[in-house]
Amino acid sequence: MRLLLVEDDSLLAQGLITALSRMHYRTEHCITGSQAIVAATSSGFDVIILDLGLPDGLALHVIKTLRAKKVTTPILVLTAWDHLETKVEALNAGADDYVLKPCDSREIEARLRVLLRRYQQRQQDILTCQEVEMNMQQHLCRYQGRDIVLTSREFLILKEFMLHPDKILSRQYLDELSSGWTGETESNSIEVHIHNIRKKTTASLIKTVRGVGYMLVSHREN
Amino acid sequence: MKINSIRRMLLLSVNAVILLMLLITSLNTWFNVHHEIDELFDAQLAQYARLVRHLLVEPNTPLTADSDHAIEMPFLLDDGIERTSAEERYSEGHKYESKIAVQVWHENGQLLIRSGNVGKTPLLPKQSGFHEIRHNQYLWIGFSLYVPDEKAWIFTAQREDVRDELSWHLTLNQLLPLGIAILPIILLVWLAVEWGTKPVRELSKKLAETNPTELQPIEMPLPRELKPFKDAVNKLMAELKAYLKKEKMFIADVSHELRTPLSVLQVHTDNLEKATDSQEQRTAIQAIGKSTRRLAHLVKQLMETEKLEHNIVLQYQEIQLLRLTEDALASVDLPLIDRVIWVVDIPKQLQVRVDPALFHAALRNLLDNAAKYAPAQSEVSIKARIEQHAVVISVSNAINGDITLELARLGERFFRSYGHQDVAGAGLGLSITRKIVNLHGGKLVFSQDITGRFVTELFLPQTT
Repeated sequence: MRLLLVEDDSLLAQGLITALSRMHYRTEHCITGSQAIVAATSSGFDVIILDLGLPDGLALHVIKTLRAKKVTTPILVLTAWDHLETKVEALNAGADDYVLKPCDSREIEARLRVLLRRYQQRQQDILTCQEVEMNMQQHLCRYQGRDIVLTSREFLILKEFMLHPDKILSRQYLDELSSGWTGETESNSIEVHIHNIRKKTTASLIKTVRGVGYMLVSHREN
Repeated sequence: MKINSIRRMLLLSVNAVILLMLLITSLNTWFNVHHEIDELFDAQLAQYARLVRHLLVEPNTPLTADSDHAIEMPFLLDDGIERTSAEERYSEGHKYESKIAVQVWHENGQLLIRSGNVGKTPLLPKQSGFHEIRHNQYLWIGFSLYVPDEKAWIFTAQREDVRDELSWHLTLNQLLPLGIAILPIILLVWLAVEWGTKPVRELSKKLAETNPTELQPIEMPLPRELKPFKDAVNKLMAELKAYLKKEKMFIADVSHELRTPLSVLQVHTDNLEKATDSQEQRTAIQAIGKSTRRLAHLVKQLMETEKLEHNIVLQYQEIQLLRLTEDALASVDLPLIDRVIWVVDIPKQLQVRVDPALFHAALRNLLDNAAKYAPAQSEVSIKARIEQHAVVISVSNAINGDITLELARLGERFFRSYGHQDVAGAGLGLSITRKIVNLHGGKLVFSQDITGRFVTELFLPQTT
């Protein structure tokens, strides 16, 4: 799951990225509103965390521009402005939720899940496909009723598949999800991660679509 | 004297003045009437005595020494009932006759004539003229007249209470209409005071209804006398409103600026707690340290801003600019001093008229900024020149990137160049400097020259 964090305070952004990464979220970071508009329109994100006070002005125009460009990604506004008017304005502009600083990273993560649930029209944070069950709140995964241990990236990739069952996810998309904009290198490639997931669950869970990418099969084929 | 209620004071004072005037008028009338009656009756007594003398000197009936001519008095009881004059004129005479007495005495002590209401002792002393005596428990006014031809003394007298009664009646009759009028007068005074003080009450009500959070100016028709008061209150409310707005904005800004470093602390503390390796721990600790220093710096600058927000009185002094600059430079943190190369070009003889303490803070902020934003080991130049009655102090330094689009916002409270967010600061230094320069009647101008250097020019008017 990819998040876009738009925050001009580098220390805070750094801390949030670390915290969200620990919670199995891949977070991309940009500083200004104009950068945010380019990023959100050119790349797919699951949620945008947007600080209202940005160096190039109040970020309300970012929300309005994205909504005008038909970007429906949920927007969680993160701000230090505790004005009712600002909150109402942000929500009216198209934001989905509002978190006031100082805030706990756990609260942000909980709100992110709520936004995702609403966006994906789910009632709870437990995803189920075949015999795999993923608890997004507790970051736990079970197969056939037994806990399985996944690495952070394996969890991230499997969660992405389970959020988009029966949909082909391109290799490039999964690469971006796994390594981010900064291109963090890890010896393991996407193939290795998928191989490990299949090993820990079942080979029939993720199907390779040759030349395109991979797809999670929600129901076992007989 | 402290006035607690204008209305009560007006009512009491106006009514008191009216009553006092009435009292003075009454007393004056009473004394005048009494005096006139005295004159009249005294003259009547004297005239009465002379009439008797005439009767003595030219009698139709010769007086003999042994006759006691007691003049009969009608027995008419004064029952105190008020009657008309006509009713009091009885066929027997008048009840007041008993209050008028006459005696005629021979020089040898023989009583010749007396009225029935006096005895056979001399009523008055044998001394010509008017006398006041007490007889039968009453005060009498008498007149003694000596008749040498007849060697006789004529005493005529009248009871004083007759005069008092008359005076009282006359005075009362005159004052009665006034006394009856006093109640309507008091009522009218009360109505006038109520009507006259109505705008004061309405203004007071309007003031009491004023919402302290809104402080709307008072708009209502008022008499001329209250308009200056209304204008003063409205002016005060406008100033208060502006002050509260400023305070509110300041608190909002402060709250906003504190929230971000607090978030940094919270998030990194959480990260530190959950860190799985020493690198994560180090990163969190460094971030907490940075954020704490940022908070401390922010609080320090907020205190300086707060001081400047209140109308302070500048303590002007004529001072050498070079010395002031050197002092400011000496107060810059040592790491920043060593970070860049300083080039100071200020004429020694150049004097400025400033508040040294405040101006020192303004200069230090400019130098601080220059050292922070300039690339390491680059040159920061401080120059001064005189230009049209103003001393222009210019501080220039190299800077990374193009900041021309941000120049207009520099000096805004909490504004920080977004290309330089990595530089520690709260966005208050230039705001404080601008405020200090403005207090000195000067201005601060920012520019980026063609070589890309950031230039701050401080224009300080010099009045000689």
